[in-house]
Amino acid sequence: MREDDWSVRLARSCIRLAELFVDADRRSDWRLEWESELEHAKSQLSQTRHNRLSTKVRLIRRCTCSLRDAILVRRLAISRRDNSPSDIPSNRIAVLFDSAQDVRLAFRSLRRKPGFAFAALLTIALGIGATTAVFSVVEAVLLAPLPHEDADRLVILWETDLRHTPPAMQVNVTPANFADWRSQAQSFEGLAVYSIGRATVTGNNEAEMVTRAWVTSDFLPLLRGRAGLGRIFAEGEDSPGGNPVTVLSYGFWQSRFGGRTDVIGRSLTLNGSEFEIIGVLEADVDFLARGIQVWTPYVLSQAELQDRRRHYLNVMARLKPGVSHEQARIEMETITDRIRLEHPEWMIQRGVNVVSLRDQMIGNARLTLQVLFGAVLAVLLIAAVNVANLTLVQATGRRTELAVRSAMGAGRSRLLRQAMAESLTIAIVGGALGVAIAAAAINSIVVLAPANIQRTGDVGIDLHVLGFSIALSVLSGVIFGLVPAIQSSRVNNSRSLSGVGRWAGGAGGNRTRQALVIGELALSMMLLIGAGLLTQTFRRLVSVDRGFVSERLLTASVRLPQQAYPDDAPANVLYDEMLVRVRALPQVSSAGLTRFLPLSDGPWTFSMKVEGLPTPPEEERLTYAYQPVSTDYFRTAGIALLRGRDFSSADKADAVPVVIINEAMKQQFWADSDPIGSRICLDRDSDDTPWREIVGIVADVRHDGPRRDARPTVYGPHHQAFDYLLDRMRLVVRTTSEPLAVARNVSRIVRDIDPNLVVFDIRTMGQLVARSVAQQRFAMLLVLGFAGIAAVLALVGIYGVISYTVSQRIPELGLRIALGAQPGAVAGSILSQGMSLAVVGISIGAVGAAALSRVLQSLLFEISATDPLTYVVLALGLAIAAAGACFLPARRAAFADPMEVMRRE
Amino acid sequence: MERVVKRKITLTYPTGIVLLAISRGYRYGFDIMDISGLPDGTVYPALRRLEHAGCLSSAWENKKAANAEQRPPRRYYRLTADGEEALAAARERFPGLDMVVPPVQFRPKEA
Repeated sequence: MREDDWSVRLARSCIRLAELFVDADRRSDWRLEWESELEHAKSQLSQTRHNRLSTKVRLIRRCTCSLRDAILVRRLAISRRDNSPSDIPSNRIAVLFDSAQDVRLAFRSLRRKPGFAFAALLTIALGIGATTAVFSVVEAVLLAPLPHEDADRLVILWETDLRHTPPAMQVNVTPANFADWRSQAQSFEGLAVYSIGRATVTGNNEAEMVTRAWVTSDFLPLLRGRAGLGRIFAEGEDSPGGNPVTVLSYGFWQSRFGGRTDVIGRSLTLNGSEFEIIGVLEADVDFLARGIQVWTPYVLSQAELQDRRRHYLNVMARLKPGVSHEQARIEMETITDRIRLEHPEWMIQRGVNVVSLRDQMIGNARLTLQVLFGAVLAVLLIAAVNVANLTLVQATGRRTELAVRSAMGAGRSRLLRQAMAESLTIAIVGGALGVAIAAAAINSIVVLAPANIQRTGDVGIDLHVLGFSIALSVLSGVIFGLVPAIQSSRVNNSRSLSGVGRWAGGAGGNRTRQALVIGELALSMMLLIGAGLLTQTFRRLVSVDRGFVSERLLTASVRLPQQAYPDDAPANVLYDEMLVRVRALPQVSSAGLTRFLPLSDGPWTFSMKVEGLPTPPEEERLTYAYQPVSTDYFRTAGIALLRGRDFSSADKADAVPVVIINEAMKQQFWADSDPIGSRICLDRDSDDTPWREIVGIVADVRHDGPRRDARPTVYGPHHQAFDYLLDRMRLVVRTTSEPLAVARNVSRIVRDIDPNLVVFDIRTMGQLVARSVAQQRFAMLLVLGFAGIAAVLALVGIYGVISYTVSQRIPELGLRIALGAQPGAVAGSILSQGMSLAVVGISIGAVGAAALSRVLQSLLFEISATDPLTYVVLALGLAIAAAGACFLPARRAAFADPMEVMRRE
Repeated sequence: MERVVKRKITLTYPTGIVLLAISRGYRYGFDIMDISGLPDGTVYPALRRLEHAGCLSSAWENKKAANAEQRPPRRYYRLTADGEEALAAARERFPGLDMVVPPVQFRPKEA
């Protein structure tokens, strides 16, 4: 026998715990007795070859009895001291032991009814666990206040593009519109511009990638972000020509500078430029939960503020006290109308949108969370109904027992206390299990939660919610436990004892229970349908043709500091060098570069003109997505070249400008003709941008995720691209083995070429694909889980009701069988009774699901919310499961022994 | 209804089985649990009550024997005269009690 066997150790700790209850003068004797028993059992255990686990469990169970023994020994010692003739102690702790007896009785009576105990515990544990977990997540994500002072007054302002309907697409704000809004809007305390991105910090230590925010100087005051050390940006520090200054977050100050107070005035190298550190923010200042580490001014020149053409600003504002959201929206629309009058050419199909910061952060996760919320409410409802049903059913069956106890002289308060002890035991044990379930569930919810559900880092078990759930279950247990006890303490005992009252459950009570079960089945049917639809949506989302091959594809980003790479020539030299070296790596079969990676960041859109076609009017601008790529990008990403040629190393800056278009663009302009050889101009409003020749057509890529169709896209060689796009490129590497294994070599190559560069955002394409369907996966898994729980609970419910009916009708059924009824027919009648409940419940559930289908539709993909196949399959499945649940009691009915019944009567 | 022996011991069925098991030579708590089929939680309380009521006496086994096997000595129980009397009363009250516990020689061999 190994000394460290877990069962022996657990058993021994149990004894150690119990010995605390024993009087000090008897303790060592007592401990020795139990430990020698344990030692003996241990030596027996070591000889057992089979059934080891059950033997161990028995050993632990035995040693838990030591607790009880310890209490008894103490009691006996007291009674001996008091020289009382009785072994019932007469002092104060008698009450305690009475309560202990209640609990013991409760456990014993539950052990006698394992079915009821299991069903009740399961119901309460699942109900409390699921409710607490989801309420905790919803509370943290949807309801908890944002970590900003007066956060409800913070809003994000967007322009909208009304051509995308519905709903209008949010677009960034042009600098000139921002300037007009800022000077005209009265609803806001102020408007500020922000942008959040990444930056490389170099210097003493190794290069480090940080999250950087660019903000105008009024941003932090609007956010109520204060400096804990030094100061925040002063007015004017965001104008061109101002000193480059930076404010650090508390966390970055701690990690990079060890919290030293002499950082003020020192310099920080950000993307190769020096910034003077002027302050450190208080600990919790952040925005959009992005974990911003470094704040720098957003410089807007007067000339830039005249630009009404390019949409690239993010605008945050704070509502003045007393101004409602709606008032602000109306004012903004008025201002936008005014701008439209003055600059009609830039404001065609443009609107404005005021979004609260909270909505901005929750994004489209709101619907998902609401669906979850509904699901969990249904589960809670089902659980409550089940607890009520089960307790009522078993309490009715116990009236005889209670009457016996009452006749034997148990006082009313004793009976009530015992009933309460039973309910409380179930509620507390179930509650404890529920907490465990909730903790596990919250962990998995946080792990599963897609990135766009922000603030999941804040999620923990919400104690208020937990308290509420437990209180609810205790309350329901107590109420439903007490009702029969109160009744029985009033009823005429002789009636109950003689059996007259035994069948007085009553048809009325039965009907209520049946209605409750129908409701349970209907609710779980609705959840099952929701889960079925979401599952199929997820399957379709995963299997949709994305236009690229995600297996064994490594992606990584490189950003070039502007100082070292002021224009496109040095940048392109670097990129070419990088490609040559990466392609030479072992385990790399090909490599390419692209500016925008599918499923990561959207390509920027421009408007173009086609040679030979008249320039279209403003409202019919031909917009397209523009993508600078390198040679071999298409082959590496697995994007099919449909016609023409790929880019070659000859497509340099001074060669003939060429482009490759995608299928979607071909369909738009050259549906019936061959675009190869045609020429387009990438800037509609410019006459000096060169015409570029189309040399190839590639397959469409679902760049924005599986739900969006491919946009018309123009690819150009990076040597011929707009140079402001070349500050950052994405490397894609097709590998022959596990992609992440190559990542280290890729980083090393980039550092070898230029030690100031950092490779970041290293991911496999597979990870990006998984992220793009993460929200679907999240919704699917959770709704699936809840539907499963609901179905189990509903089946427990129908089982409980049918078996209760059977136990009520046993005398009648036994009589029938005695009179010659076929057991099969008897079982059939019970089964059909159960199935009629099931069919009604399932039908109501299906109708309810269809009625609610509108809510779910926007979460679905390529499947209708009223998909008949899903409905039929799930209805059949639930019906079969319900038949299974009714089968056990029906079988019992078929074997009702007439003699047994006669004896009972 | 209940037979009262000297210091008021309620003679329940489990108590009777414990008395019987001890008389048959099962002298330790866990052995009685093994042989009697009683719920584990009832054996020790019965032992304590019986001892408290004077029906049993307990003693530590020979230290030498235990030391030889490198284990702590076990506490074993045996019937007192009162215990014999109580067992007789139990036999009278629960006919068939004798069938429950086999004599000790069928016990599996100890290590």
